[in-house]
Amino acid sequence: MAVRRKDTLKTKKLKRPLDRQWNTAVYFLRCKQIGLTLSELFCLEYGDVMDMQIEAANDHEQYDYLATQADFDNAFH
Amino acid sequence: MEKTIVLGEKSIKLRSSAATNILYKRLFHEDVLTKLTTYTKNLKELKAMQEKIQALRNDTERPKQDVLADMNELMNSDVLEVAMNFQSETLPRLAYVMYLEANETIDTIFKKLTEEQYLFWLMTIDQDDLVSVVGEVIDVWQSGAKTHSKPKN
Repeated sequence: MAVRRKDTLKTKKLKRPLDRQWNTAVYFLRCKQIGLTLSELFCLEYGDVMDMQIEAANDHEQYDYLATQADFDNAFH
Repeated sequence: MEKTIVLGEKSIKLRSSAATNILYKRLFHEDVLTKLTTYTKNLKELKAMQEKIQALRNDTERPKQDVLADMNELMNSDVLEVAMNFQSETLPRLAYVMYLEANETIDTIFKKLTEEQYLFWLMTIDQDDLVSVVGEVIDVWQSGAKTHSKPKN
């Protein structure tokens, strides 16, 4: 029986911008989603919080594994 | 980001944090993020307008009446009105929130976060002086808004 090869390739389709305005309501929602309180926000810079939100979004992305010495050993021995 | 700015003979300490826009919205029921976005676009339009005015000034070939008419049209555009509105309304409000953050603690800040306290504070400063340091006030916000992380997608 033929086995269909799983295609893991992804198209590099450009993402179109969203028609959603970045405002204080969305910002505060994202802050609460990552568990920040108002008193914590007092101690942080706006840029720090944006960095945290970017990294929180990056958590949902898939990353390639980096090759280890064991991988090279397996490949060449 | 914390910075001391000089208003005339008085110097005031301003501080921006991740809560500045939330406090602003709570007090003035407006969104400072959208206002700042509009103002940034407005600055670009102002720059383009200044270049056009300069080009009109240097134009010696066209009749003066036509040049003046074009200049009038430019001066009466919405671009200047948006900038004036930002400087007269949003700027002092933003400065007040930043002033509170620099000079009050988390516990006492909400007591001063009222319209009456804002109007009282406005009486203690010269608004014309504040307009002259608009860049510095915006800088307090923008310096704290720098990001270092990059989105993967």
